[in-house]
Amino acid sequence: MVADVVTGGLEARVVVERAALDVALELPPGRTVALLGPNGAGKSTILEALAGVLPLDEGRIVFDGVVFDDAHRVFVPPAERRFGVVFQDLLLFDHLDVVENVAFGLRARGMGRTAARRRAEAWLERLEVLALARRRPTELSGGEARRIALARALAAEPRALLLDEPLGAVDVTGRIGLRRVLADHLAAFPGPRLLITHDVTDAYLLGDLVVVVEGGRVVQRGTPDDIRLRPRTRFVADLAAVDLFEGEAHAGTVRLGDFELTVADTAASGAVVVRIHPRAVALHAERPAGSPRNVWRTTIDRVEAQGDRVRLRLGAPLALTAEVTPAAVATLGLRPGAAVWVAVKATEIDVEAR
Amino acid sequence: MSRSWRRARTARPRLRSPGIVVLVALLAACGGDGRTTLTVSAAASLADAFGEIETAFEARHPDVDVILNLGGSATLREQILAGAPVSVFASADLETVSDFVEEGRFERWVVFASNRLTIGVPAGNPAGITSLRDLARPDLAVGLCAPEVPCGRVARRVLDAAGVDVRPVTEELDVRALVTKLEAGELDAGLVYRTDVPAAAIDEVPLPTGLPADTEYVIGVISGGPESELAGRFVRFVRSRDGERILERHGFGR
Amino acid sequence: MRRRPRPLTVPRVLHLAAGLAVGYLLVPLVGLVGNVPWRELPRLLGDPLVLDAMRLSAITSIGATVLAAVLGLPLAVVLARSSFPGRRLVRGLVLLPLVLPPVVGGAALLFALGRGGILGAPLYRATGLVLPFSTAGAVLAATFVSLPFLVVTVEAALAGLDPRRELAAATLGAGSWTILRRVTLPAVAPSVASGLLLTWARALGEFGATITFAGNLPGRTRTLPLAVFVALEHDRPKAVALGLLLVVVALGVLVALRGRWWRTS
Repeated sequence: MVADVVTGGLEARVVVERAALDVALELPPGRTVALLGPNGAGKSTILEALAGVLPLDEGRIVFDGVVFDDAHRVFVPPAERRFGVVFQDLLLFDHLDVVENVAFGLRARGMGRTAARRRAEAWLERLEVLALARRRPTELSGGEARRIALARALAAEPRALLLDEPLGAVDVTGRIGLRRVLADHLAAFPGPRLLITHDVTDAYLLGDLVVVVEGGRVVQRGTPDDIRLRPRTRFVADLAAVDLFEGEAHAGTVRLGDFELTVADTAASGAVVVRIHPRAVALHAERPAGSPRNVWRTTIDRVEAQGDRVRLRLGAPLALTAEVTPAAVATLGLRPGAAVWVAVKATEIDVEAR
Repeated sequence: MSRSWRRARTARPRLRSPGIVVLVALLAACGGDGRTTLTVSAAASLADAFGEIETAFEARHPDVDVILNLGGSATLREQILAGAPVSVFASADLETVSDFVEEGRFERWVVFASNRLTIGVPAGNPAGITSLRDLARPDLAVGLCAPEVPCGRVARRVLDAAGVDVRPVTEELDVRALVTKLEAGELDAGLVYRTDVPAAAIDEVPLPTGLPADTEYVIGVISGGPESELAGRFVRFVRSRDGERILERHGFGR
Repeated sequence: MRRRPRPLTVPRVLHLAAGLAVGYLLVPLVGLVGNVPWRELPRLLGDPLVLDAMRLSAITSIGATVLAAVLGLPLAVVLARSSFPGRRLVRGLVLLPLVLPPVVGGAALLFALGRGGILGAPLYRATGLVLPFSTAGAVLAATFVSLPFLVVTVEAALAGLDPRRELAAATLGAGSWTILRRVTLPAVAPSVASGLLLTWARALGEFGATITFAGNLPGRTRTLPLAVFVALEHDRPKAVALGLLLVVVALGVLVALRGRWWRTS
């Protein structure tokens, strides 16, 4: 189905003065790079520059050894780049029904109407939205519209995938199914893939590599674990310090290897991701009395001062991060090797199906 | 150029609607400086001559402000019928005002000038017109006034009498519009008034004397119109030596 | 159903002034309709000269609309989607026929496209074609005055369209023609339709430029508005009957445009 065998990746240095943006990116083929950053970091601008809808002010974009934009002489228009793009606001064609939207790329490249529609329907089926074929984009929910936009991008037989918040504005139930579909198609896509997100879970679950952008600059790049365990900025620390564990849920508990957590979400079952924020982790010198169900004793591995807060890495049985004030550090005598009691309220634990 | 523009504007449509009556009334009420206003409706072909007469009359009557309402005779007639407060009406022919005469809408009226139709041609006569018969040439673009307006009526009378069959390319609603198109060179010939020729950038080929090409201008005081005494004085001035001299200078006959 | 009281934010005296404005618009219509010779209407409207004028008006207004579409749509697209030096000037030029007295437009056309005009003279020498006093001339005159309606309507619609949608089409491999044909124009199709309708209505009502440029000849250039004017000179009932016809057509246009060009809510 893919016309060109992709051998090369996408390399770019993107400078857009209007957005005060200057980043260098490397998107190897067959890998998903998650571009993580706060709102206004310039993530969408990067995608637009790569897609060719926004010319570079400086820098260059090279795909598979071919210069696409060098900010001066060369500019390959978007139609010739053949990148599959899902824009943050999707930009579906409201005057066309879903099938025609998905068939658009094929027809634009000269495929006949019937053949293009058949191919589009096959994509809709793969994305489990064939039932929506005759609808107009205005009649779709957020999750449905995102699947159609993804189908539209994939159907055009792109050489690279550029996805801007493909899971944004989708409710929790829609998000789970959509993330699974997205994971499947990203894994099956042979070219470079760029996934923009502001959600660390998406970056962690879908990205092979993570690039963090803040204020128009790359502040960190690495594997999801690199980012999570060694955050370099407050933003990354905030996002990445949220501990993520994969486990199996059953009737109000989640089993993480040998350890079991009690959670408030009794409906979750099967493979899940569990998220615990450092601020939700309470530390005590004595065993706390009262309601917390998740209470255990552990030792402190590491202490990291971060401005007005202190981060503590906790040891077995669960490698959690706790965040406390410097005053608490003194009062509780928190130092590496010290023993403490840990309490996490069931209601503070986020559970999401994988 | 500038003349053509002005003439094009004279040819602007004037809709006879209650709105026009209001407009004329507003015009008439505009003498806000204490002078008495006198509204005179005059055929478009009288524009230049009556402009001078207005100046001369006002020089003699400093307390009077004459307001000239120029237009096609038929248009002016409809305005008066619709109730426009007009004191004096000068029509380009008697036919237009025949019912004014019969039904006593004129308090007094008199034939005060005459005009004569002529063959108007663009300057230099590029089509080489020498006689009325040439107007039947199929290769020429000939314009006439519409049969509904005085100059068109006289034109058809002349052509019928001469036995010339003219296929006009246009029937203008106003002789000035016809003159404009001759000046622009878009028409090769047209039957216009002799008085239109001197002031316009066109030439003429006079019609032979035997043809009924003469037309008579009628001026009258509207019965029950405003300022009827002053209106009578204006009509007398038009017929005075001074008035006649002005009309003669603009090519009108007596 | 009780009307919900609303805080008064408009001075009462404005309501009075607004009422006067409505009256001023309404009274002439009442005057016209009150003068309609209903019983004679079929005879007046069936008059061969009137039928001629109707036929001619149909030809010239539709011809002008087609010509305006051919000339105006590309102009609207270029104005809305490309930047070039003098774009503001061009936009002003487009608006000129809207504010220019049509007679002046007609005179200008005469000097440009007439037998002795800057374009008309070479055309005449080369082909013998004379545009003034011809039905084609009437079409050109109507096009001149009605073209802005199409350009302005369509350009405004295009300006309100997110150009990123067109860029999205480009990322899917669509060239500029495909984008125009399959994305841009379908998205503004309703505005194109209402623009064409407005253009047609303006062309149908065209008088000043037509009589100045194309003259007045039954069957060739005497369209309905000219016929109304001629009839006013000698046959008032016919003029009123034709006026009524044009009012009915105009109301039809407004009904067709409701909710688009003017709000119904």
